[in-house]
Amino acid sequence: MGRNTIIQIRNLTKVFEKEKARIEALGDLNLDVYEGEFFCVIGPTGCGKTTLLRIIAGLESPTRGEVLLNGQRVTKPGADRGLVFQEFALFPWRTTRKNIEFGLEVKGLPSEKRREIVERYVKLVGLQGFENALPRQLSSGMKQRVAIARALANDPEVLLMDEPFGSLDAQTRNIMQRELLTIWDKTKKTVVFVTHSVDEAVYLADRIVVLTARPGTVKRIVEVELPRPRDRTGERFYAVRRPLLQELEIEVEKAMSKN
Amino acid sequence: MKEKHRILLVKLGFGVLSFFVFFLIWDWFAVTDTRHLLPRPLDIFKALIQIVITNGKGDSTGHLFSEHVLASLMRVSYGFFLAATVAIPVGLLWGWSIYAESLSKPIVELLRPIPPFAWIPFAIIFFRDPFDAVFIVYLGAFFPIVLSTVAGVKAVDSILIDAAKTLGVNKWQLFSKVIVPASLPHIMTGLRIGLGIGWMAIVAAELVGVREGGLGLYIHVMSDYGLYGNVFAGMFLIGIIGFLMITAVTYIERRLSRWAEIL
Repeated sequence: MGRNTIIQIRNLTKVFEKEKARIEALGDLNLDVYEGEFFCVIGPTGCGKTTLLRIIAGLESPTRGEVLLNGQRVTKPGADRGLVFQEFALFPWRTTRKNIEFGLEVKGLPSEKRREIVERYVKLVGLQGFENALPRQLSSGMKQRVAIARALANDPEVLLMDEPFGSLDAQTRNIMQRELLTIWDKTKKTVVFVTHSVDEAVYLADRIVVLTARPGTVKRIVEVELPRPRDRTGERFYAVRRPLLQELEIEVEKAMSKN
Repeated sequence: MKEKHRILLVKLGFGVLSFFVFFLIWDWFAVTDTRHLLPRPLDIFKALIQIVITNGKGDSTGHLFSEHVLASLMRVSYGFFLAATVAIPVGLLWGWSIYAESLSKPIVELLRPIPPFAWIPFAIIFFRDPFDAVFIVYLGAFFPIVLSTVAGVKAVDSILIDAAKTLGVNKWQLFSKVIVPASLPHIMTGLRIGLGIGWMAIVAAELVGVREGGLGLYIHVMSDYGLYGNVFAGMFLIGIIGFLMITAVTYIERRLSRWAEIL
């Protein structure tokens, strides 16, 4: 793998000032994400994982430090960074097709071109036959497929995913993880994937970063060198998983003793 | 399924019973009313039939009954559409921008507690017919539409705004492609309430003002002639027309907001 850095995170600090409380979500975080890799972020609840992702997306601005995408400083949201939310965030008045089309419409692409792209992504995420369904008519797994297709149809440089499978049941979750890898393999996108599940991270990632309890910063980066498709029950899978779990547990305990 | 039928039967049976008891009590009051001001239900029914058959020809209001209906409907339509055309954009901007809110909120909050009917005397001397009545309808419909629209914009889920931003929208696209459609169910509710109040306002305005036709004028004149059966028949028809209009808007509301329904 040619390790070109696509995202550089430099001395990133984020402090939330609320009326009484001052919450330091991220504290001097440094991180590189390489082009084309599947990068997972894990950490205890409240360690600022989501904040990190929102800053990369440009929805939140850093208190100090910066995020660079291809050397350019991120200042606002843009179509070059697609975001998939845990809550799906589909437009409820738009059908599957129209949801996926949203970014293309915004770009002002002609309708034949849009139709062609939408068709490709409907197929990619396996939603044929549901093009004209409204979000409320879809299961949670299907909703998240729409959200992934919507983000990908915009052809972003990186796909940011914020616990996208967190609200799915265990079976759907496993299926979606497998399909996401297939999609990733086909599209060659850089993925930054936030999760609190070590199992999910080990199954999906090329590299995993473990964040510390608040204020979140890098505790450790682990390369997962298991061949895909990975066997969740295999000895080698556990060998990667075990030390990560232990480390995460230490951070979770730290986080709990603070509260 | 059987349980469903039983409930339907109970609803129907008790519904009929409640009407029956209501008119029975009414009739008793009408019969015992020595001043003969309260008409008997049967007299109202007769008056109603007569209105439908003769279209109120020669009823000393100087107009056919259909002309009264049309006059009221026209005034309501003008006032209502005028109110919607102003209130929806104002509401959208107010909900969206702190500047627009700071501009419009104080005035609206100042004028809102004044019932539209309180404007009737001013409207009658200030505007010519039918614009005085249109003005009253406008006032009645404006506030519910504006406030529902504001509520709609403020209730837009912030995650949808975030999603749209990451998909590359500019400000105008965010407004037109997310804020407006997301607020549509609230806007429609405002329109329905506004139309209801507008219909109330028109009858009130026509009752008070001397003017060319209108259902309010009709019941006013009938009352002057002591034709109380016709007064109540007119009231009943005002209710029916109002009901039909609200039903039509509710139907449109349902169609446009189908996505918002919870399965």
